[in-house]
Amino acid sequence: MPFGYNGKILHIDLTQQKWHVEEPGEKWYRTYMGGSAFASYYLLKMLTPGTDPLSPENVLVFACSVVTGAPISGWNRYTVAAKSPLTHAFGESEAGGFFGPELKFAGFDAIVIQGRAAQPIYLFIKDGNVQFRDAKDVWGLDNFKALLRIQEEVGDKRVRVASIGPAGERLVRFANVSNDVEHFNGRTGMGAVLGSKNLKAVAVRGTKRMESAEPEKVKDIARWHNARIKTHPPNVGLTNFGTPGLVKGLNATGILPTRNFREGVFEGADKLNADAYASILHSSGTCWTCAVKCKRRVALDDEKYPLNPKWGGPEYETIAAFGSMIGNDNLLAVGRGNQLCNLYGLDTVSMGNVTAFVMECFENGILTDKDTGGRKINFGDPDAMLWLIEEVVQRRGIGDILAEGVKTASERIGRGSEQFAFTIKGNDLPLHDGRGKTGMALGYALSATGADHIETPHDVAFQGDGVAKLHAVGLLDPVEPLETDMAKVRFFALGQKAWGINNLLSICNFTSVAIHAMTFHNLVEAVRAVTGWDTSLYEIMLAVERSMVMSRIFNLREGFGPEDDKVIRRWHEPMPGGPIKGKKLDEQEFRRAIEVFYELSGWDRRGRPTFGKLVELNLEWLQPEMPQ
Amino acid sequence: MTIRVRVSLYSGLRTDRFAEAEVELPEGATVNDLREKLDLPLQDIGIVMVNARSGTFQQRLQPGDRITLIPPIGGG
Repeated sequence: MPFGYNGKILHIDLTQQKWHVEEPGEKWYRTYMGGSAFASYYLLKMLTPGTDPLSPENVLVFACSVVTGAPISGWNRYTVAAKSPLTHAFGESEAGGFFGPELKFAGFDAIVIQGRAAQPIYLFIKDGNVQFRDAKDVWGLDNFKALLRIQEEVGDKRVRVASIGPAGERLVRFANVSNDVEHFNGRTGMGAVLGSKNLKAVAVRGTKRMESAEPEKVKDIARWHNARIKTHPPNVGLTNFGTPGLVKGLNATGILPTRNFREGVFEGADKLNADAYASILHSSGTCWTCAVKCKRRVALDDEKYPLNPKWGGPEYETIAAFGSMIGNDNLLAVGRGNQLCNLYGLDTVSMGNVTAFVMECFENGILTDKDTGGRKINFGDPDAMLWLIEEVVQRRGIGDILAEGVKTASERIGRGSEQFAFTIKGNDLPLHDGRGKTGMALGYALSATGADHIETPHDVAFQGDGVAKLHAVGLLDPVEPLETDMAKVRFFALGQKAWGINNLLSICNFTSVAIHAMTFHNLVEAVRAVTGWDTSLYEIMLAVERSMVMSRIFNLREGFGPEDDKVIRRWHEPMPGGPIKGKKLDEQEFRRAIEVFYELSGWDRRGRPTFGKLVELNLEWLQPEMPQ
Repeated sequence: MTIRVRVSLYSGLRTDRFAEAEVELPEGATVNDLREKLDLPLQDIGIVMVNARSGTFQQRLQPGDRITLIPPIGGG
C-alpha cells in the first residue's frame, strides 16, 4: 500500500460521460512526484501539438502531489494545467485552500479530463465515486452563488468546489479557477478551458485521511515547523500583515510596478500598504492545516465600493495590479475590483495588465473614447478599472477584444498599441520589475508559462548573509539583485530548482524553502516520513528539473523557441526615477545569461534539451517529440 | 553595560539610515530591541540573519554579532 498518496489517477471523458481509474505504480509516482510534473506527463502523452486550447481535444489536469494532505503547514496546494488559451504554451497555475487535500481524501491524486460535455455539467467526486451532474441551475452563476448552489444540490456543506464564473463560461482567455472564492488558480486562463468543456465545477468530498509511513515523525516535524512559523521573521510578517506587507518594501526599493511598468515608485503607495489595509481588514483566513494564516478578508459597508468578507481580500499582486500599475491609490476600489474578479472568475494580474495597457493607449491617443462608447480610461481612475472588468466579463464592446488578452488585443487594435502591450510568451506580467531583480527577470523569460513570479526565489532575499538560506544547494556567494553576471546565472539555476520543489510537491512557498520556516533538511525528512521512500534532496531536485524539461519540451513542440525566452522592451530601457534610477537590463548581457543557462542546463543553442540530458532525467521517451 | 554589534541593512531599509554600521545596545538586547532603536517598523523587515544564520526577533544579541536585515520580498 502506498503511503502519502492513493496510487490512483482519475480519468474523465466529458464527451462520453465516462470515467476510469489508472494505477500507474510506485515507480511512476517516484519519478514524477506531483503537481506540475504529473500535468506535464499527461499533456505530453495525450495532446497533439497545435491543438486549439479551447477545443474538446485539450487535456485538463487537476494534480496534487505524493505528499499533499500530509498534516504539515502549507502542504495543501494543487495544480490546474492544460494548454493555455492565453499563451498557446504550457498552461499551469497553483492554488492553496482546501480543494487539494480534499481530492486526496476522496481517493485520487490527480484528475485528467478530456472532451466536452454536450450541456453544462459539474463533476461530483466523493470517496472514490464520480457523478456527472447537470449544471443547468449553476451555469451563469458567479463563483460564490455557484459554491452555495452546489453545496445545496449535493447536500453537503463540507464539499470543496473548484469552479468558474461567467468569465470562464464566456471563454475570457485569462479566466481563472476559484475554490471557496478565496483561493485561485489564477494564471494562464485555466478557467476558459473549463468553460470550453462545459465544465462549471469540480466538487470533491473525501472522508478518509492520508496515511504516512512514519506518522509520529511527521507529527514531530509538523510541531517543530509550526513553532518556527511563530518566530521566523518572514512568517511573522506574513501572519501579521499578509502579502499587503510587501507594498511598502517594493516601493522603497524602487521596484513597485507603476503605470504599466513605466516607473518603479508610486506616489500613492502609502495609501495601499499594510497600514492602509487595516482600515478594511475584517479577519485572517488560512488554508488547510496552515499555521501562517496569511490570507486576508476585507469588509466595508460602503455604497460605492462595498466589500464582503466572503468574497476574498486583495493580495499583494492584486493591490499592485489595480493600484500602482494603473496609477490608482484608492484601496477601496482595489478591494472592490478584486471581489468582482473573484466572483466573475477573472485573473487579477492579467486584468490589471489589461487595464494599464488601455490606459497607456489612451494617454497616447491610440485609443480614445470613440473606442469605448464615450468612456475615458485614464491612469488614476479606479472607476475606469471597475468599468473595464464589467466590459470584459460581458465581452461587450472593447471588452470583447480585451478578453482575448493584452497580446491578441494589441494585435487587433494595431495603431502602434503593440508598443504598450507587455507580455512574455503571451502571458501578462506579475507585479515585479525585473530591472531590480535580475534573477527573477531570468525566471520571467525562461518559465514555460511565460512571465511567472513563482519560477524562482526573488534575488533581494539573498543579499549579504541572506544567501545562507541557499547554502544547502551549493550557493555560497551573496546575491546582487541588480547584476546580470555569471554569478546571477548560477543563483538562478540553483534557486529555480530549489524553489521548484514547492511547485512540484504542491507546497506553499510561504511556509517552505528557501525563505520561509521549512529547512531543506526537514523538508526531505518529512517527505521520507510521509512516503516511506529513502529519498534525498538530490532525487527531489532531479524531479524538479525533469518537470521543467518536460514543460520546456511541451513548448518546443508547440513551436516556441529561444526567441521567446525574453523580457519586455521596457526593462531594457532605463528606470526613469527612484532608488534604481537609470538601471536597465542590458540586452546583450541578458541574452548571454540566457545562453549560459542553456549551456549549464544541458540544452543546445536552440534551447532544446540534449539527448544526454533526457537520458539523465529518464525522459528518452520524449526524444521523438523534439523538433528537428 | 553595553554591547556593540555590526548591522547591515539592505535595499529600502538603507534609506535615511546606513548600509553598514556598528550599533551600541544595552546588554541582553534582542533583535527586536535593535529594530526599535533603528526605528524600523516590524512590517518593513522580511529576513533577519544573525552571524549568517536565520535569526528571530526574540534572539538575544552577543557582543560582536553580525546582524543582516532584509526587507520583505516578492510573492502574493
